[in-house]
Amino acid sequence: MTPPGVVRLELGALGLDRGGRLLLAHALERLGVGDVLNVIGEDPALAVHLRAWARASGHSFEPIPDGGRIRVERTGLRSSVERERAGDVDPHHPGAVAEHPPLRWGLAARGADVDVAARDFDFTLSDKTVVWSDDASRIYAQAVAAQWDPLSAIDWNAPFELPEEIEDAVVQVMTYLIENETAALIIPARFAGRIHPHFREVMQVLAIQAADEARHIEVFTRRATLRRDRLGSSSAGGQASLKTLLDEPDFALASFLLSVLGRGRFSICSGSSIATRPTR
Amino acid sequence: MSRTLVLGAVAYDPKVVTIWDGFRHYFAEHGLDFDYVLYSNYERQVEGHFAGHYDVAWNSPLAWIEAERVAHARGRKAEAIAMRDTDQDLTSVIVVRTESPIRTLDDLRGKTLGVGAGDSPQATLIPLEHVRSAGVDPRSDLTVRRFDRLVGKHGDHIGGERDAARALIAGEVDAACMIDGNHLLFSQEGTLPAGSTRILSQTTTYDHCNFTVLDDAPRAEVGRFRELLLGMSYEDPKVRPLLDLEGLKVWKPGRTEGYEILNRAVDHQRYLEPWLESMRS
Repeated sequence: MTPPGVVRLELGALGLDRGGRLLLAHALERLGVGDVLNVIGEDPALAVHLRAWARASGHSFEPIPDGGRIRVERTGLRSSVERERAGDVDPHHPGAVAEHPPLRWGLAARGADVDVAARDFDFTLSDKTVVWSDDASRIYAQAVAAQWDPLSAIDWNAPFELPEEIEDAVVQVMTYLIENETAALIIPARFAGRIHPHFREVMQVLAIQAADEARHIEVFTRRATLRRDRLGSSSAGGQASLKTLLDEPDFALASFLLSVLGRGRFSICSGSSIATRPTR
Repeated sequence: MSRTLVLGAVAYDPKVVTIWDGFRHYFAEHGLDFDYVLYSNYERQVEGHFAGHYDVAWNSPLAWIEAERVAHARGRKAEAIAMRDTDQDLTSVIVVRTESPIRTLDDLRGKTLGVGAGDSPQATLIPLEHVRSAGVDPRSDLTVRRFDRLVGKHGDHIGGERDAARALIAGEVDAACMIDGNHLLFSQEGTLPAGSTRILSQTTTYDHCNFTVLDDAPRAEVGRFRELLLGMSYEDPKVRPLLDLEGLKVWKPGRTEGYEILNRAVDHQRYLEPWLESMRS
C-alpha cells in the first residue's frame, strides 16, 4: 500500500523522451514540497532519464526497481513570473474593459492571465474613450448574422438586356464602386491593426466590415464583367478625394468621411452617369 | 573599505555575457561591487587565477582539479565555495544502437567508442575511466574516436557529445558517451531517433562545476558573494531568468567529494601532465 504523501505513477512503455515527461509533470503538479512520487515503467532508460530530469527540475532522486523515486523540493515551476488578469472576457462585467490597457498585454485575449514580463506591442489606439463602444459586441453579432453569399443571393444567370450605352454606364458605376469599396476596406483594416486587442469586439467589427467590403468588391467586379471584358475609368480627382479618407489619422473622422463623402461621391458620380442617359 | 570582486569565467556561449551582466547588476543592487573577465579556455583561466588577475573562478570540474593540483604543487590552497544544484550527482552513460550485439562493457573490446572533446569530463574522461575500471583498457582494448569540438572549453557546449551521438546513429562508431541528461535531450530532439539506442552502462555519480577561490581571495567580498548566491530564490522574478540561463534552480554550498572519478581519470589518462608540468614552475 502506498503511504500518504507518496504517489505512484506508472508510465508503462512510455519513456520520458516519448511523452512520459508530460504525465510526470502533471503528476507533480498535484504534489507539494516534501511529497514523493514513485515513477515506474518499462522503458530501459527510465531511471537514467528520471535522474537527469529531476536534477534539472530541482527535485531529489533516488533509483528504485524499474524507475525512480522523486522527492518534490519545489513547486510552481510552471509559472514564470508575476502575472496579472487582463480585464474580463465578458465586456458587461464591471471593470472588464480597461481604460488604458498596457501595451504588454499585447495579443493576449481580454480576460487572460498575462505574464507581466511580456514585451510591449505597438498598438497606437489604446485609449478606451477613443476606441470603445458598449455596442461593439452587438454590432459585431448583427454583422455576423447579416453575412450573405453572393453566389446564392444574386441570380447571376437572370436574363437582362440593356442598351449598349446604359451597360457602359453601369460598368462605369461599378468601376467607381470598386474604388470606393477598396477605400472602405482599407480604412477599417488599417485601423484594426492599430487597435489594442483588449478592445476585441471593436477589432472584430472593423474586421467584418473589411470582409463585407471585400464581398462588395467581388460583386461589383462580377457585375461589371458580365457583358464587358474591360472596366471603366478612374479619375485623378476621384482618387484624390478617396485619398483624403485614407490619410485621415482619426478613425471616427475617417469613418464619418467614408460614410458621407464616399457615399456622397457615389451619389454625385452616379447622378452624373444618370444625367448622361439618353431620354426615351 | 570593500573592493570590486572579480570573477573569471569561460565564454563557451554568447549567453555567458548576458548571465554575468545580469548577475553583476543583481550584486550591485545588493551592495556587492562585482565585475567579471572572460577567457576563451579554462587553462588560461586557471593560469590567470594564480597570476592574480581575478578573485573567483567559475570552474569546470576539470578546471577545479587543475586549480587544486597547481595549488598543492605551489603550497597553496584552493576551495570550492559554491556550485549549482545541477552540478551535483551527475552520471554519464555509454550508449549503443538498439540492435547492437554489444551487451556488456567487455563486448567493447575491438570496437570503436565515440567520445566528446578530449577535455570533456562528462563525455570523455569519466566514461573512459568507467570503462577502464571494468577491466577494458581504452588505450589498448578498443579504439577511441574523439570529437574535438572547441577544445579548451571542457565540453561545456556539448558539441562533441552531439557529434559522437550522430556518429553512433550513422554507424561510424559502435558506442558513444554522453551525460545522462543529454541522452534524454538527444532523444527528444531527434539526434537519437526514438527507439534507436540502448544504454549499455552508466557511471557512478560525480559533481560538475564550482566557484573556486584561492587562499589569497578577499574574504569579506567572497563571503558576501557566497551569501548572495545561496540566498537567491527561484521565485524571485528578477533573478529567475538568470538562473534559467545558467541552468539551476538554487545555488548550493561547494563540496569536493564528487570529484573522485574525475581525479582517477586524470591520473590514469595522464591528460593534464604536460600542462601541470608547465604550471609547477
